Amino acid sequence: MKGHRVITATIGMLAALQLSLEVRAEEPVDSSGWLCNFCTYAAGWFGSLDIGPGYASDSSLKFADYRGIEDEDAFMSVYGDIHFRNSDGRYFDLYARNLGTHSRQLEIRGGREGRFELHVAYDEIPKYRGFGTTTPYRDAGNGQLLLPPDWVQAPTTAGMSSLTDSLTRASLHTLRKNFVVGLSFKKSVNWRYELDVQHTEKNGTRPFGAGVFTIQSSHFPAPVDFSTDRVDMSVEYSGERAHMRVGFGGSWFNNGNASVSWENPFNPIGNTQLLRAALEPDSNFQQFNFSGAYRVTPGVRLLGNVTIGQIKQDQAFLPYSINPDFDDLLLPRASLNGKIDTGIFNLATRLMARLSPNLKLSARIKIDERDNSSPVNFYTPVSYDYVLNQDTANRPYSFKRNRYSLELDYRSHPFMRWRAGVKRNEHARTLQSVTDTKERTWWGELNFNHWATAQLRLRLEASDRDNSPYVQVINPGLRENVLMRKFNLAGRDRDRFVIELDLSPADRLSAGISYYMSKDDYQQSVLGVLHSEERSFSIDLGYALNNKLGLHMFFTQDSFDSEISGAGFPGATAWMARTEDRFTTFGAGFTGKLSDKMDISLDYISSDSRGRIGTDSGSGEAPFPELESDLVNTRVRLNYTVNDQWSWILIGEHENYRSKDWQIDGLGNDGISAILSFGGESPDYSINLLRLMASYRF
Amino acid sequence: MRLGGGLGWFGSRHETAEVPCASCHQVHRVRDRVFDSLAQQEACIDCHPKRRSDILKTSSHPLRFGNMSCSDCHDPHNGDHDFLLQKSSVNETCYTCHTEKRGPYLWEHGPVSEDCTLCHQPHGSNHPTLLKRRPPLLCQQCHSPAGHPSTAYTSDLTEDSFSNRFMLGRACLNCHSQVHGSNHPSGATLDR
Repeated sequence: MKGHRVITATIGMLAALQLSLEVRAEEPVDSSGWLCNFCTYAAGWFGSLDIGPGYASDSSLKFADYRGIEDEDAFMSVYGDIHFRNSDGRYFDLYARNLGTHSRQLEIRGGREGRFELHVAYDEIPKYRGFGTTTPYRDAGNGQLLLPPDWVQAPTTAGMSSLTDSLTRASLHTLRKNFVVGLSFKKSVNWRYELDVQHTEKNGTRPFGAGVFTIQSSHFPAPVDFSTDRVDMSVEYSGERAHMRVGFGGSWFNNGNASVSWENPFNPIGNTQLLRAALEPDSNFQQFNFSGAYRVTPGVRLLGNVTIGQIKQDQAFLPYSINPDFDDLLLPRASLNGKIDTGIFNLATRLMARLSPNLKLSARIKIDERDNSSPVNFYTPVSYDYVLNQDTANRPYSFKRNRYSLELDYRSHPFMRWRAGVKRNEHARTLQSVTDTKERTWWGELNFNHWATAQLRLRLEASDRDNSPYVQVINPGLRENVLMRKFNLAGRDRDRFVIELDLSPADRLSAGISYYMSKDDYQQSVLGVLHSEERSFSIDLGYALNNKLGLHMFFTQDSFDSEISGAGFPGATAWMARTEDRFTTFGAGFTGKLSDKMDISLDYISSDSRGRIGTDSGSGEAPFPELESDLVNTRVRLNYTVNDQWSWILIGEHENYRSKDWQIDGLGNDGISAILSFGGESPDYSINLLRLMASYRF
Repeated sequence: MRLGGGLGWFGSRHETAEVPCASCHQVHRVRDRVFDSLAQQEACIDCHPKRRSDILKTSSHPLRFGNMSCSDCHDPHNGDHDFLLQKSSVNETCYTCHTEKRGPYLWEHGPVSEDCTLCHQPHGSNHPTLLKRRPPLLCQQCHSPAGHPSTAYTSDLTEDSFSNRFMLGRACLNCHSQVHGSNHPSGATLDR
């Protein structure tokens, strides 16, 4: 894949202005003679190393997701914190976590306080998709997926007689590896320089589905061979009155596979034995930014931020089709030569003014722009590598967002603040059904803060959004129903309510309660989203029985509901769908001392979700089966101190996970006659994880 | 790179809420908890308890295991960006790790280029790939041409039903895998 030089032209501008009308001199404090009697500074080398075996009692790819413990097997647990400090400010820090698994993290920092720091880090993130998935496809390399030589093509999956014998595990798994080197140093008290270089690789496979002909399709594991290089650098000045930073960020993305091709498992129509799709193109992004602050007087401060950047993509196009029947079909250009100026004109201005000792006013203007100047041409798409379509022009979308806000903050009492504000968002788009939306928001907030014993926050917010006339956008694709209103473009009324209460009635007891509600109504929409609502309720409790035992508990209940309307064709009776997602999370635990040598902690967490979908077309249809997931995790940690240097750490963890998903359960590879699918089942496991580590402290 | 560096602090959400430094930061420690990806979550969840529920959902970013931290996306000191994001927009923040999604593609999908959170719930979901709703309803929120995009798919999922090929497996993504955009000259309907 070819890399591309980048011409940068993103323009972004952020400016912030803070004015304080209260003229109150801030006397500098001489802290040179201060001495902290509570600080104990270690010198020399110190830290801890925790090493030992671990064992997983069973295997599940869902359990391995992000954890990296894939097999029922032993593994090594390696953790470490190593530090060095000396009196002239030199230091070294090493942090290691999960070195024995594919979820490993290593971070090293070293330098001299106030002078320089070198930073090196490496981490891996494993991602698993598809549980029990299988496929007849074999990866022939270079993004080519072939069927076995004895594959029997058929008009439906039921006729694919060699399917069962051809299946192998479809490993839908990626591993992200991330390597960072950073350097920062101060040339003097005022100037600081930073440089970060990052290389990220993501390799493996991911699920992909693509049409074979009309309503036939097949699923296959598409290759992932991504790499991204990033460079961030900045120069920062901190003076008596001025503070500024100039930075540059660059990102270069490379995909090792420009396309994926796969054999047609169905009876091919015409010359469609082999089919092909494009994968993500190489691209690059550069951005310059400037931030600054200037204290005009002790009470007047000026702040600003400017950002300029550009994304470019010029990957060579594939032919219209891999089908040789279309070899003579000429492309209007060899590549897109795509260019987007991002944040393109991003201007924010903040004005903060203290009108009186108890009254503050702030105002803000922010402008974001995305200008996609990719060339527009007419293309002649070949659907399913077989059907020649009408000429269609590409649509490079651009937009501009202007946001204005005004806020008053009044302190009526040392413990009581009242806040209120108004916001206006203007969003202009090109090439979409609605060119302009304008949203106004009013909000009010009460804050009560009685030191550490009681805090209350109550917020009400209401907004309404209008849109310019809705027009039909025909190209590309088919004509939308004239009554459809896309929810991001449609008129909307939104109400929000938040209450948060934190109490500490006694030294040993703390409690927090919060409730959040957000409700959207699309009253002008006939088809599309009509209503959506989100609610969340949480309780947190913490109690310290004594110096040796502390208890904690939390409970959260979330819900997310929506109503969506559609119609089979213009003029048809509308159908209605309702979705309800419910989440309940509970946790409890304690930390304590069993003896002078033995510490214990226990944590229990459960997280349940239920998803309900019902579609009513007027015939009294039953709702879909519930989508379910139940996670229960119990974790016990024992720490036995042998002496000042050595201790033993025993961690036992039990995780139980059950889920049901009617979209995949029982489907198999041939459950849909027109789709050769992955099969697989919802994850379901019960796994014990045990780690025993010797811990050495020095 | 350091977060914010204090330049965007004044007027930021945390500054106007009068959150003191010690609410999040620890002194007199070799390592402040906010520099540890797991311990940092505790600091954030103290005031944002809903996020603890989110990261335990069946589809979530890898915060639970410490592979990510809140500050990978958010800068608690910087009020210049919406939602205290590290980058100047939601999409630019997402593209930091999901670089392949940034395009620009020959065939763009309007809402994708506008705001990833129109379809995705970045903090956690019970639907695959952090989706806000389950396809095909996620897609039918906006797409209504006569034919399969606008059909009322009901719970009759038997093999002979019309619904099953559009509801089961990957639903709309059985064919239209390229929902983030396609660079294939024949990919106008995001299936190549």
